[in-house]
Amino acid sequence: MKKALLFSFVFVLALVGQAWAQNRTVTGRVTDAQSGEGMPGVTVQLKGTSTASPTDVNGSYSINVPSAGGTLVFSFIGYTNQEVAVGSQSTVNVRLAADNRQISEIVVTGYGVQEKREVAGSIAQVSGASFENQPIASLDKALQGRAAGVVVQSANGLPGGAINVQIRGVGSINASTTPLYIVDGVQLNVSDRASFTQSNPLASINTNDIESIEVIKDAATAAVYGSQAANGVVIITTKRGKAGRTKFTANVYGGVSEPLKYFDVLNTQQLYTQKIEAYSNYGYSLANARILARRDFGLADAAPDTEISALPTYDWQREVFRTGKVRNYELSASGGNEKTLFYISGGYNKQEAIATKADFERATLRMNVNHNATDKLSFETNLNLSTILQNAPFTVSGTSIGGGPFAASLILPSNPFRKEDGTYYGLPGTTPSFRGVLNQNVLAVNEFNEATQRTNAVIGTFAFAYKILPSLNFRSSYSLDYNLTQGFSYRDPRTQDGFARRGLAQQQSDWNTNFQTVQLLTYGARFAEVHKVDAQLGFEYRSDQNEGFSASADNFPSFEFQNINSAANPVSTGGFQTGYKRTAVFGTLGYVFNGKYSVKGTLRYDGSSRFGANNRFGLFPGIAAAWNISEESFMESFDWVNNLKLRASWGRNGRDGIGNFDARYLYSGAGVYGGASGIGPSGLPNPDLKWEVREMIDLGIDFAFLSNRVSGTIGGFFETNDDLLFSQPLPTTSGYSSVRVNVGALEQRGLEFELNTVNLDLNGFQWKTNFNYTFIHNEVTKLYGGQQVLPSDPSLRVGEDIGTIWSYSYAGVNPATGRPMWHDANGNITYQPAASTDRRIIGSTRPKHTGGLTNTVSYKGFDLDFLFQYQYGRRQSDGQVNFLLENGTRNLNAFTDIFNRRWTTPGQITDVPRPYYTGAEDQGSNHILGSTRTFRKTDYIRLKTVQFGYNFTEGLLSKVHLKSGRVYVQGTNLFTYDDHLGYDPEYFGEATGIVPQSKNVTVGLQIGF
Amino acid sequence: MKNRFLYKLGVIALASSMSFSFVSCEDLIDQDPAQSIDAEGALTASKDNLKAAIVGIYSPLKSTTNYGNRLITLPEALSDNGRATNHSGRLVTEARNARGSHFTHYANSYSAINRANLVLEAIPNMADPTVTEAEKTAWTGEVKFLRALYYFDLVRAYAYIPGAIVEAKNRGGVPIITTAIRTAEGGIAYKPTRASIDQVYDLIYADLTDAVDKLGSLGATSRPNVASKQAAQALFSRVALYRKDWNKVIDMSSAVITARGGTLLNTSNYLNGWSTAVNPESLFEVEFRNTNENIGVNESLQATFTTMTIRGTRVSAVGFGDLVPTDPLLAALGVTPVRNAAGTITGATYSSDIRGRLFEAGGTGRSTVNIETTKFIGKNGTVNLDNVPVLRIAEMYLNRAEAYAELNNNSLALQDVNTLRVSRGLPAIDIAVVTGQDIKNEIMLQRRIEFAFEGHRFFDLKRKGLNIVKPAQPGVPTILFEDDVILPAIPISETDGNPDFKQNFGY
Repeated sequence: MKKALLFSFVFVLALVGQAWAQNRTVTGRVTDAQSGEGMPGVTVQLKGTSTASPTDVNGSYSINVPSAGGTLVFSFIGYTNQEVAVGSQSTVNVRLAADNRQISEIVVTGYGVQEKREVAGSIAQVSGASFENQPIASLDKALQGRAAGVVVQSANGLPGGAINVQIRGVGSINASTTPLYIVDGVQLNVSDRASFTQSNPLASINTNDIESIEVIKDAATAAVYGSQAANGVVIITTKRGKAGRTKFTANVYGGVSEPLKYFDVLNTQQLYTQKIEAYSNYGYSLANARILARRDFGLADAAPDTEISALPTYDWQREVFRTGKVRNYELSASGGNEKTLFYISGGYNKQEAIATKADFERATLRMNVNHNATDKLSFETNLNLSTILQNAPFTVSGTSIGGGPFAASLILPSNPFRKEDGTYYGLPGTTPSFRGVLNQNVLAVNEFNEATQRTNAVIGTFAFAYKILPSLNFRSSYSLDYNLTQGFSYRDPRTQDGFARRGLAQQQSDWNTNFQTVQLLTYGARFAEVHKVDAQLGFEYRSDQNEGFSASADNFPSFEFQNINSAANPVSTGGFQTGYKRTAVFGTLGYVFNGKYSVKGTLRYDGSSRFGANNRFGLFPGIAAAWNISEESFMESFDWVNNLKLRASWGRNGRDGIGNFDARYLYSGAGVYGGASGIGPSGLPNPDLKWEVREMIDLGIDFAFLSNRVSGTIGGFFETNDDLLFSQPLPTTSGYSSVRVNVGALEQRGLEFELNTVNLDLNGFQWKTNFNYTFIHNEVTKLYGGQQVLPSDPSLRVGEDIGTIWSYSYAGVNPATGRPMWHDANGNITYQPAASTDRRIIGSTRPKHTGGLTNTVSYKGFDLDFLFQYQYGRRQSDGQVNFLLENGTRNLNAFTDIFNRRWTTPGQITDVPRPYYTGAEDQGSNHILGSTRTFRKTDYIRLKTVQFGYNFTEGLLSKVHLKSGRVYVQGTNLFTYDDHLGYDPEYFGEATGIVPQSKNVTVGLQIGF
Repeated sequence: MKNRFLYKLGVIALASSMSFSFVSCEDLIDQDPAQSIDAEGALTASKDNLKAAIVGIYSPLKSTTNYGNRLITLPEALSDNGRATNHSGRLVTEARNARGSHFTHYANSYSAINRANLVLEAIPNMADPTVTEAEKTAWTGEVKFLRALYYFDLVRAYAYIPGAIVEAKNRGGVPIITTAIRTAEGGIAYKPTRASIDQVYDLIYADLTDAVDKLGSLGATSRPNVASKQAAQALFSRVALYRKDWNKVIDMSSAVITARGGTLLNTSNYLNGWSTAVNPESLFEVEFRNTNENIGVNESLQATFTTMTIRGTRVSAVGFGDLVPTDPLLAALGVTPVRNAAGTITGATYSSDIRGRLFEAGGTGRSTVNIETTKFIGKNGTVNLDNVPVLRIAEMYLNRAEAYAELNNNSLALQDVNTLRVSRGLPAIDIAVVTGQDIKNEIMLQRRIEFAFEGHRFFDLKRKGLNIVKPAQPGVPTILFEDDVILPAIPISETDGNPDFKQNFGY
């Protein structure tokens, strides 16, 4: 108590002392130039002195100035400083304007930020605003078409499903090429842990919480992430609070998703015709062919023709696919004062795919808090909690007979949906039975079978920073990326998969604990005005541990019992545990001279538990330099040049995306026999196994002309990937099929172009365009043992693209016989091409040219924004299409167009062979053989998103006491220009039986108060 | 006060960074697998591990490339016994003997042989003090039986069979590897070459001699799901039969018949024998015991051969019924399909041969009803879960009969044939009315009927150098014995980059 008294006394004295030294008070109010609101926490400082005062909650301030006046400096982060000479005034009111330039000129480059004009690497920035309110479940999809050098492909249309992201192509043959994702400093484990559907860990983050995404493309900048950086780095920064009045934003949107297209398939009578042709072409007499075709439809051998023409046709596609609903609700609050900043948001998002039962329901909670305990000590916590519930489709992809999207277009159309009594037609154990190869009623399969998946995830960081010296800062952070995925699946006894075993239930749990800590010293100082030095020294540790458990049981009392508890017979139990650890020390050193020349060096020493005992550590350096030509004095006369920068960098990164124990010589489980569990060697050891190394030279020009109305980047890169983590095939006679070794090399060269223009800016009418284009040349340059071609996979060839398709050239149909033909090695026609001699390069599964085009038009509160995304130079075989091309091979439906163009009469010129039961004619190959006929071009231009919105005027808003308001309507995938036969040209992989992507339309309202 | 707080924080920060520097970097990233152990010394240190490693040699037998499917289905599909129905599209090209549609058990079998070699190398060096010499002997016998079985399945499929060789197309046997490879360098440097057919049979003889010597009798020490003296003798009998080493066949068959002859089923218990999990005639069968070993709806033997789940219950169509008997096989079995007015099969009539009863009208749920075999019908109590008989006592009678017949001992030959015929419900053949060739023909016929859909027919034709007369079906001609497709291609992974490894002719 005494101490407190004494302290107060001293404090009062100090105030009195100060009052003696000054002789006049100036008051005033600081308001936001845009909103007109008072701004709390603005620093008001008397220039050249330490006298300063903050504004209060209303933005008012009061400061003592010398009687002669002086100059006041008003400063606030994110706003342009303003200086006002006081003169004789006693009231100084100021309107501060937000400094957009200042915000956008900061780039996140790793463990810190950098001013954009000093950046010498290649970094793409995508602002959160550009994909705000889009109905996308995971942030990786937001990058599609928006950044040069980034290719995004969806495996399917499952919300929250797998996405393939390539940053500057594909640099590895066998190791993973997934980029490193970092959310607010936390390195995420993004592996899919789902058993019954797909789960994308990036879906745990609400995309509307994202402030910006930075994609690090060059190796020098990425070198600070060393061993994990070779596939590029995606840095996600979430929103922070700003000091001032607490801002609330409420956001709601809803809409629908619909199929992109339906296939035009045969009706029952056409199919009957096709079958007779297929059987008789196969060699059956016409009479027998008719009998066999009748049997295919379940008719008696002697059924009259009237019975055939009376057979109905049911449209299974329109039953299986549906209109899905999309809904999203969010509320966020952000604000703070000069000591504490916060951002809190809660969101609920539900998206239904276009096929039952595939949906995605997510609740998220985010809390970002920064607090300055003292001038020197600050704390920070970022926390993202999410829970995702997904109803899983019967199968995610593939040829499961019960899979709705697979079967819908292929089922014999004479099969009805339901019987006359309203129950499903063709259930197992009932008559009449379902006809055709696809002999399950997929509507029943869909309705009766259950599969769900719950994903609970925490991404959180706790950090504190201490300012040891004004120029030296220590930051210590601890983070957790925890993910629990629980799945449940029930195969109903009323459907085929559960019929004979009276129901099968499977349950699965998988949890991943990814702990990280970073200890970081940061130094930054400026000497003699022109020398700017930055340095970092850090230590990092990461432990990523994955465990799981699963069980299944069958034989249930009835379909109403679905819990494993009720099953009579346990089928299997399983469990696993695996993990890896990494540790590193790293440092960066940057120097900038007078804003003209900047150079930055990076060094990281990295260790990983995945590598051989002899080679667990590696060194990853990088160096980057930039020359701001526009800052030179000789450029002063070119006042239309706002920015011109040359940059160059070189760096080395590592890749370690292989199995956790590939280097070890281990005995593991090797099957069960006779009630006992066996063990066997899991592979051959390689104690020398080490990093796959990428080196890249990156060159670029950044420019901005004509008052920044034209800006952009032209860049190029040369990349070599060496010591590839290759699964070298062994003769299986050895007992092993491959061994993991460091052999082989792969090169890439790329060109990137980005152009931003303000096309029109007249009387409030503004039209802006952003265009980006990427070309990447990819070439395998070395395989093991001097091989020019990988024996086990001849599509891997030295001198060719990694996506090379090594297949046959389709030569059309022999007009005399209707048989399919291919080219042999000499260009002659053959019915049966030989794998050893007749295959050739027919294209690549990797798109060569990619990019996007965004246009934004705004006028008086209205705005229109649309993004076209394109991809060119890729071929892919669509498994679903291949089934529909069969046309009589089996008891399946087929494309109408293919049927109409089939060969029927000698002399007919067509590319569709005659229908032939079993597919392959005598001494001939099946016409569905992989060839230029099945690997089709998937080039497309797609109107990826379009949004039309209106921002309410201030006058209207003030009447309803709101700060902001916006209504919009938005569309996704509304238009596609392509030549593809399948549901969607965008797919990644084989596309067989997937739930295809959809087109969406949503309407939304966003208000601020 | 504030400074105290700051001081404490500083200490914590320092301590946390120090705590990482106290351990070396190497220790920081130590991570051991939780479900594997270091291979070095894994087997010699522990008896349990060694026994588990032996289990690991059995389990590949269950693979669909081996006895799980293709070693049983392909000898039927490639020969004149099986017709593909195209229900799922499987086995269609195999039934047409299309180039490239053939056996695929090469890699899986050599993986098992590697496991066997590792165990054989570990046995003499066992460090576990509880291991007895008797155990070592028994293990050696067991592993050698398995290694012989894998080599035999390889050499009979991938190479010609002794005595029926198209010399112009003969590229030898299969590679022999009896020492395990243990390093990456060793694996990369390893360039296998084919041993001669005789060398491979010599190795099998040696292993089986050892196995017969060291294994205990079936029933006394083991069940037919694992190796036994009789299993080794029965396999030896078949290997010798393929090698046309007739006296060895007689020796080995006789030894088994002496020990197990009484298990031959007769008309009263034959069907029951094919309804129980373990066939009483089995000398060795590959066991599928637990439901988690179920191969499932696509490729299990039950699903491949029949649409039904219960004999005689025809409404459901759970299995595909991809491979069904050809008309000539059904005729040989004495099975005549019954059709209704519409031409659809509704049932069948049977002769006195009890074996025909395992061939019946299939489910109505697939487009065309066929006569299907129900030898595999979920006998382990779960649909699609069946043990797979590899060696049965019936074979010993027919092997010995063939050996006698080849040695022109017609009366003993016919005696064995008649033993089998009578037990299956057929009348005995009078020796007075048949020639030596008639007896040989009858032995081939009985083998076809007795082992229909058990994986024998293709090899029985192949070892005799016979053409495969594909039953009348459009588009499938007779496959001549001289045709390339009698042999499969060696996997390309073996021959590429290894010019000394001779690919089979025509591939």
